[in-house]
Amino acid sequence: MVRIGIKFKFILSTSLLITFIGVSSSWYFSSQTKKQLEEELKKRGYSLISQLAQDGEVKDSMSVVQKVFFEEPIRRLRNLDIEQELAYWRVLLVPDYTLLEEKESWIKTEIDNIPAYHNIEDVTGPVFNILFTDSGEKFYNFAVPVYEKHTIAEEEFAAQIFGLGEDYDESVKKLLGIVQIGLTPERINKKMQTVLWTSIIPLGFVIVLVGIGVSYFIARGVVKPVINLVKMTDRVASGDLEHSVEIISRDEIGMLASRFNQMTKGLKRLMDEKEGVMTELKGVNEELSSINTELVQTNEQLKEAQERLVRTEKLAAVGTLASGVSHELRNPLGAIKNAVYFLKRKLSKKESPDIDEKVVQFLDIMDKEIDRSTKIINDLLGFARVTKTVKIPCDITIVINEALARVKVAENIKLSRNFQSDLPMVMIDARQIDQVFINMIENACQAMPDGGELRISTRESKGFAETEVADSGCGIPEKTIKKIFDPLFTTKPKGTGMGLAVCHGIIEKHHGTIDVESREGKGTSIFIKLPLEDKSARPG
Amino acid sequence: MIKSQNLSAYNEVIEGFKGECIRNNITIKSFYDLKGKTNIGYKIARKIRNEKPDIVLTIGVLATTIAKEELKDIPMVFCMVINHERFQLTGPNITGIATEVAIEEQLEGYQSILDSLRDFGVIYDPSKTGNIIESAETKMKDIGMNLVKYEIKSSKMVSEALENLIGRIDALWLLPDSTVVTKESFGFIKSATLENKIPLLCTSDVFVKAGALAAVFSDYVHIGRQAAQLAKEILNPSASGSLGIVNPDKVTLAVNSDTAEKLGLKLKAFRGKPHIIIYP
Repeated sequence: MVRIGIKFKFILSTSLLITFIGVSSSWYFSSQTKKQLEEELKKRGYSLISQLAQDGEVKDSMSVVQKVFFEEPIRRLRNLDIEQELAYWRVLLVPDYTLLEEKESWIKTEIDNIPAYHNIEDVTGPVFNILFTDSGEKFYNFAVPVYEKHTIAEEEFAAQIFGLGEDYDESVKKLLGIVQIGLTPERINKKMQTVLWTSIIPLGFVIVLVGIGVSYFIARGVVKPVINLVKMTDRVASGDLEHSVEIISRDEIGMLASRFNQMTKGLKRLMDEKEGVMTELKGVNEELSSINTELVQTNEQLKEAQERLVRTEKLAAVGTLASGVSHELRNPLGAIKNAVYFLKRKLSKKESPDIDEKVVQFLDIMDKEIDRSTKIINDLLGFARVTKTVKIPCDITIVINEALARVKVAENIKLSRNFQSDLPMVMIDARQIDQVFINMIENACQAMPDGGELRISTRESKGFAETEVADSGCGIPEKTIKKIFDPLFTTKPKGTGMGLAVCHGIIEKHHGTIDVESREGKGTSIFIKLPLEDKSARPG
Repeated sequence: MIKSQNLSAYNEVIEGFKGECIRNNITIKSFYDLKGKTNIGYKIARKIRNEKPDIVLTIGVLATTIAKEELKDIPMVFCMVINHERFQLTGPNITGIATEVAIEEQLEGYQSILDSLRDFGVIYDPSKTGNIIESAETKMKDIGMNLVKYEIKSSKMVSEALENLIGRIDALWLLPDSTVVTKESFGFIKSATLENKIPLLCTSDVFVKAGALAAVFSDYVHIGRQAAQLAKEILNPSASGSLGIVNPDKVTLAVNSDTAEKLGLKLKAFRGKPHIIIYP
């Protein structure tokens, strides 16, 4: 939508007003001029007809009813008509006789068509009227009565010098007739046209143009501060509260600018206060956030501690159970093992054809299952056994290499070692830790039945020696990863579920940690951290 | 006895004439009033010719000029003709009394009320009062006065003449000049002179009544008497026709005391001669 500004409205309305005033003044001026010209024409008409009526020769000619005597007075009349406005003249005698009627040749109207006065005696004083003829001409018509001369001029003067007598009657005057003349307004019309085109219309145009120009400058003067205010409002709206409007005038716009500046200052003060509060809130929020983080960490620690406690409790319960059951089963299994050995020996010494080969095979199966059961029992006993851990400073690299030497790594598995050379000594029970590494390496190898890469590396980490055993095997599903250290949990078909539980138990006894990271299909890494030797505590 | 029109001044003349006629046993045969009309004048002239009077008294210029033309063989005495010299009223049968008082007598009258009267201003139309100015200028020079004159040819020039004269004159002399004195001009002359403290001096008491300071003029009743005396002389069988034109015997000084006061004039103690009338 097109926006119409104050400046445009002001200029438009002022221009319309000025145009109206200009047109009105021009109209007034022209009508006044015309009126003035008409008045002048009337004066000239009266003057001319008075001269004619006062002319002694006219009176004498009217007295003697002689048309020819008018030649001289009419000549004088035409000489007096400098403006050449005289159109016609007529002399009427009482009671109703036209002595003379003539017109100028350039007048279109016939003299007969110009009304004459038939009731001459009714005309007692000067008469003026405007005539419109059938031929479209307009005339200023004048008529005055002509009276007989009172007396000769010398006697009139004598009366003036000697004074009038008490019975002197000047009013007894005999009416001779009337003289009538007509003036044409043609010349004043032309003059009016000239005045109109040379003065009034150009003056009107000048008034209108000057008016528009002046209103433009006034509007600009008024609107400029308003535009400045609008610009400043936009700046304030966009957040710039640093600037203020320049106050040029002391009028209403100046007051508006002043109030605007006060408002901007107030707004700035409020914004500064808000900024301060926001900063404080941000600090509080950060504090809360850090407290929250601490709480989360504490919560996680608590959760871990709880899980560890649960696992420890669980292990303790399993250990107690396993210890009792194992003691009870170990002896019967030993007796069964001996019996199987005795039967197999007997059967191998006697070659009797009636002995089914299947019996020998079943005995072998029994022997193997007894061994396996024995192993399970031993594992359970090993887990439950409360053996004292004897920690001495050991080189972890040596312990790892020894474990590797005991495990047979398949040929399709590529083994890589990356041990930190200057790794400090760790305080461990080397036999137990060796068992842990064997378990880890075996598990890794079992995860890569089709070959892969086994990487073992060591490094120092914040008072601990960290060993990573990583394989590129099948990985551990996410849902089971948390359970791998639980006793009796296994994913292997012939596993006992005690290996990692035992390892976890050993590492905890060493005040170390054991963690696992695994991605399915990519491989698993086990991180074992063991505390470094506290050299300040070693004697000597 | 023919009077040109019905004016009070003319009637005063008739009054004086009649009285003096009775005293001298002169019978007035007939009395006519021309009422200012020329055509009536000619009709009456014809009638008088038929009546054959011994002498005719004409009062005013109309009656006088018609009688001069139409009654050439009857002795006549004229009076009340303003500036009679213009009409060449001379002839073996024509005797007359001038209307204007002699210059010397006029000046004597004016000087009797005004102390310092040296520069005497006058506006005139040479075609009307040139003859009066001519004789006055010489006479004034003789008595050490200066006539400051301004010539005009139309009534419209009166104001211009006044502007020119004011400041140069001690008094303004208003002559019976029809170009200078019109119905419109007198009021203007009166106010201009009063405003500039210039005494306005005239030849008729009519103007004094209207506000001029003073006028020296002939006594109209006495003119009638004087005319009767002249008639008597002419009717005397030993007389030889015309007695010429004589000056009026008796003059009067009229003064407007209000105007004098306005002009701040201290009127000198009036002397016995001439006769004085104080207006209003």
